[in-house]
Amino acid sequence: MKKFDLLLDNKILSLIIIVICLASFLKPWLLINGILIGSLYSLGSIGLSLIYGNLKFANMAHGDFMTLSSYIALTLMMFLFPNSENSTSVGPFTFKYELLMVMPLAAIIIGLMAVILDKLIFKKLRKLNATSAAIALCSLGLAVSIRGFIQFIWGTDSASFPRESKLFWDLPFRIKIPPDMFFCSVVAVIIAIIFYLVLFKTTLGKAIRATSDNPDLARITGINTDRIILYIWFIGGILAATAGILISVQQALITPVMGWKILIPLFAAVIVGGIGNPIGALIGGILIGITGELATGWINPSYKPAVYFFVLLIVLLLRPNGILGNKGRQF
Amino acid sequence: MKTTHPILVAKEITAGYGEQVIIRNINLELYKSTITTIIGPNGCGKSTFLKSISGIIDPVEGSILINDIEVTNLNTFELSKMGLGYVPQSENIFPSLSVIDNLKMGGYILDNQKYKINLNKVLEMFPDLKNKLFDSASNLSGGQRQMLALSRALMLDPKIIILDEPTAGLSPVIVDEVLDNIIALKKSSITVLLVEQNAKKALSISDNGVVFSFGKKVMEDDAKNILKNKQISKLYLGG
Repeated sequence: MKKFDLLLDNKILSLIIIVICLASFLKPWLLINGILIGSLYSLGSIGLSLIYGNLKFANMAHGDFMTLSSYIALTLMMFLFPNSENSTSVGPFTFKYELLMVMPLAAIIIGLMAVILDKLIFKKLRKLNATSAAIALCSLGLAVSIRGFIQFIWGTDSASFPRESKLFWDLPFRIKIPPDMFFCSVVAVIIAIIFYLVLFKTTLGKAIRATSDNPDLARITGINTDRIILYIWFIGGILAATAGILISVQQALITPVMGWKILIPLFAAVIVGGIGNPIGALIGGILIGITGELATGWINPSYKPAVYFFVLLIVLLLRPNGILGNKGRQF
Repeated sequence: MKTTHPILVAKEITAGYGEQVIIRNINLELYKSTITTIIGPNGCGKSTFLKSISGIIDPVEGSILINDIEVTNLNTFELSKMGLGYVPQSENIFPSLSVIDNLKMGGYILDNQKYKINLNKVLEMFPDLKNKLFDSASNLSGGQRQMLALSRALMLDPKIIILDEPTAGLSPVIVDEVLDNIIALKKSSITVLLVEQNAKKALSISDNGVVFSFGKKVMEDDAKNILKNKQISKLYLGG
């Protein structure tokens, strides 16, 4: 029976791989787009997965952290560099140097905000032994509140970072890459690698993984898990902020609902990759990005969320713990 | 072996989970370089008592003192800084980390120099771990896991170590090995508090024995006397 299951699994897996390869062969530009967009999903989903894996709840406010970071970066640019509209853009990219300067600042602000929100809300819920579902619902309330705050302060209209129009890069096989998208993907991959190194090669990262494995044992061992949780929120906030700003750059658009909309592929990526596994989130993000983009070659792009959930369904049927979920939590 | 002053005092400890009280009014004193074994039937509150002493659960009533300092309701990680080590019965290692990283986490609050000294000390005590340092802890056998759990707890140089069924699920040969390690702990001036299903073997290496029943301490005596007690032997030591 096991052999049959394995064979069945392999057949379905093989079929999926064949479909992806065939679609990529027919429309390679969609594959490239998928990889580039997927890398941004990965960055967002790593932060989401970090919090999910450690604090055991789905943080519905993650997307709105991403949105808020873009608005904060935009405001910082306007205040600190009022003439940035007229400054030159960075090489072949549409964005200005000033954005690169305010980006780390906005990320730190969101990281600190995540820490404060934990102290004000989530820590109290943990002390009350609230269930994961209750904490997730609370984060949903927080998400709606952040969105309301954004609309109150910045209005409901869309905005964008100061930019200068640039040509796409023309490559063989009708592949056209917007330079910004390439930049964002490279930054996303670099940050994902840095995060991986922090998690697996530093004492802090190992303490985060130990806390995720068994918080009681971590405390007995002498690890101040309350402090580790604050680090987790800070890192999660920074990852969310970076992803949010990069997505705004890539889409050349900032809207109050952009983070909320992207939450669907992010959750799909986290679950497909295996909850709590950074490498899983990276793979999940790219897989979701590729399948979503390839599907637009044949179906209306508005059906993309359905494709994400189709992929999610197939992966979970084959591997209920996600692609890399079988080895247990890795954070 | 008993010194006059206890290193740990548990006074009138009442504890449980949520509304459910499991143990009531337990008193216990531990003395330096002694082994104390708690025996009793399943569900009598042995593990609950260990958890309440080590800060995993907060006692509803009572107080705990280590070297005359009140530590009741103190954070677990602060207790570990004060020299109290605890090895739970199950889930006592970090499975996603390697063996060396488990030990590194054991010495998380130590500076680098002290960490290296303690690591060497622990590996001398458990040489089998030397060849497994870079293996994933999840791949270790039951006996090796216990050794790792014990080594991890020893990384902070504890004065008191609390062990919850350290031989559970191990083969007889490994059980003897673990008990030998516990004797070695006592020789290195560590106070050991032990809950053990292999009650006869555990009492045979212990200085003191304590009997729990229905959440209460019903007897405390020299371990040899408990082993000789026919009623206790019949009820809890398999005749």
